[in-house]
Amino acid sequence: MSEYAGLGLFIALGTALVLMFVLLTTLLGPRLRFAEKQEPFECGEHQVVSPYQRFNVKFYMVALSFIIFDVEMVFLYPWAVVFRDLGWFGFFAMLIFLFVLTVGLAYEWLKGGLDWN
Amino acid sequence: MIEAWEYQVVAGLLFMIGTLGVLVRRNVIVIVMCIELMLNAANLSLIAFSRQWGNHDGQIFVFMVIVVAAVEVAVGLAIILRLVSNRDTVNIEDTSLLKW
Amino acid sequence: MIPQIDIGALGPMLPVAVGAILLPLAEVLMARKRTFLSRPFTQERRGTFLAVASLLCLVIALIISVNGLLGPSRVFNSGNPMIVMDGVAHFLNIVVLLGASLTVLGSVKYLADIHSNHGEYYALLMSSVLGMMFLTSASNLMMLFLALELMSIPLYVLAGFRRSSLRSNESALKYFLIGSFASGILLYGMAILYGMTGSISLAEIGKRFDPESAPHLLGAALVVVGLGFKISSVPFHQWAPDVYEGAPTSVTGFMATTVKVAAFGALMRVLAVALEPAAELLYGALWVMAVLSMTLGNVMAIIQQNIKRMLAYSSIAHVGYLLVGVIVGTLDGYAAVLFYLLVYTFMTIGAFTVVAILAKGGEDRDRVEDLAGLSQSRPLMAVVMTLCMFALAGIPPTAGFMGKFHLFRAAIERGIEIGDTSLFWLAIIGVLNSAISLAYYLRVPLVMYFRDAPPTSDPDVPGFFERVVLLTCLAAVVLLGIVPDDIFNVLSQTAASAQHLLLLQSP
Repeated sequence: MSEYAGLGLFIALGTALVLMFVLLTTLLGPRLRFAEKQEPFECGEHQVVSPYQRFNVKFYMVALSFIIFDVEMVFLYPWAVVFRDLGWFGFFAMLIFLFVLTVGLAYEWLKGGLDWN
Repeated sequence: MIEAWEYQVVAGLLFMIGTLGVLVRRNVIVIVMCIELMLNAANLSLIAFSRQWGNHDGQIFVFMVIVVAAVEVAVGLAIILRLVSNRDTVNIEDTSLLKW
Repeated sequence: MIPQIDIGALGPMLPVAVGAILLPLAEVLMARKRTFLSRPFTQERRGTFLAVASLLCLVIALIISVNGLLGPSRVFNSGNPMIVMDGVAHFLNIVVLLGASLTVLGSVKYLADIHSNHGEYYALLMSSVLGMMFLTSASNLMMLFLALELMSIPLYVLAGFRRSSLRSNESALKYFLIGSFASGILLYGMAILYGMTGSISLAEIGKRFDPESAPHLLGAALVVVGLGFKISSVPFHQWAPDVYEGAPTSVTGFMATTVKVAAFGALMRVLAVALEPAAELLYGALWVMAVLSMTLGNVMAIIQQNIKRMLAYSSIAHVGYLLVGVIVGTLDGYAAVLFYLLVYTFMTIGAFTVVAILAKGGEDRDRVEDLAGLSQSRPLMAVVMTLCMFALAGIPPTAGFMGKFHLFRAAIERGIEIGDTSLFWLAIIGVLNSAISLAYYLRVPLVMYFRDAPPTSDPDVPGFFERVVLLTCLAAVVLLGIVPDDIFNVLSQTAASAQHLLLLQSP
């Protein structure tokens, strides 16, 4: 049974993490109530419109930064598989990589790329 | 069972579609999509070869290409956004200030 | 399992990488209303500060590179060599770093003049330089592709750096489309080479490459076409004049020199190591490319009215001359290419800097007539421009003559050695083309010295940084023409050490 202990821990940690995030958003997030909030898909656009309408260009900004930071994550998967064999060398190599990514994120944040307005 | 060479045929066809698209189409967005198709044809080819040879070089290569492709799209879309806001067109034939 | 890594091999890249990562942060922190210093930076001071900071990184990298050139060759990861810092890599890195430093110095005032003084300029420039440095030392297909993209992608942005200018915008779009199209072709060629040989290491591909088999040759051809786009040789040159004309002038100088230096480094390495078995067939194709590039570049340059466009066609012609050295394929040939790349960098950046200084009030002044009467109003600029034009044309006391002399001498010596007349013809066509090129190079000094300036003309004064660039280019063009023999001997040894290492490296 003991080989399943890791799995149990994983499930417990995962659940705890999700609960924590839900709790944090309810506690810290601003609460606004208006008509759009009641719609089934709340993503900044109305649901029933002509498909030929133009999107706000800000969506592209968000999509671009999402793609950049999302795709970098492909490097974490192979790294995680061989993490044990690489030891501290692999750990620090990935730390440097993540540091470079964080600098990019910090730049975008300070530059105002993450502000909607 | 799909044979190894069949992947290469698909990859070759994808590459040709991409190349033809770049040469024939006039919409900038479509051209960028065709360039992505070329890169992904090479990716498919690399992965199939990687499996055939039984080493991981090709697969690692593909990871790098995926990231490069994403960055290329990001930069390309930004350039196209400038084009649209400066000229209100995505047709490659309207960009003809510079010639000869 | 843990790879044997020699971090010191990356010494020259580290300062540039640190600069590329930290400069954008410095830029946004300085742009905020309240800084940790009491008063906020003005845009001009910010630009100067960032330029000096990036110059510092480049100079540190330059010192480490010179040090590396004198020391032994090093391999970053000896178990699976991806980056080989041999003599050729160090030398080309030095040329790239010199070109980049001159570009940074020449950009400070120009960016303010065209109202595009954004701090990101220097960060993008540094990223591109980093890509070039990896490109010259890459000994593995994956590294080659990554470095090529790291070099090109910031350049797409730099070409469109004047965001509201239609021409800059169009230049960026064309560069991006053609550049990524070329990357796609190159990548598919690499995939085929990997599939046929089962390895992405250049040395290993060279061992297993079979010049009899059609798929092997297809892969090789696609790789050569992809690199042909990057060095803008005919028939893959169509983009170059448009992109060079539309891009900001300082960026054009950078693109015309350092990109070619790095791409030629990659081309030489790929041809000499990975595609060595296919040499005869490929050199036939390269012969045609060289002749077409020289001839078409020079003929088209004659009819240009815009200096940037003329220099773009002239750079295509110079790619033709450089290909002569690559086709020769001997150590002397490679050494001649290295020497010519060094000379070419100085004379081209000198010419572009003069054009950049003329820009004023948010507008480029880049037609040949805009230079009229420059000898009276700005004698220093006129002298530098004249010498750069003489050097590009290959007129004797200048460095350009020595560069061409070494290239064509290598071709003729090799031709005698193996009794191949095609190499003689290459040298003869090269010399004839140099004669044709006089037609447009000499027009520029003629306009500057013998035509009066229009009454409205008031050319801008070069700033301190620009004066440094002009004087450096002047000194280099003259000195490299007078004392080239010592340098050339060093370069022959450099090429020899590189070949020694490339033959040795096998995982």
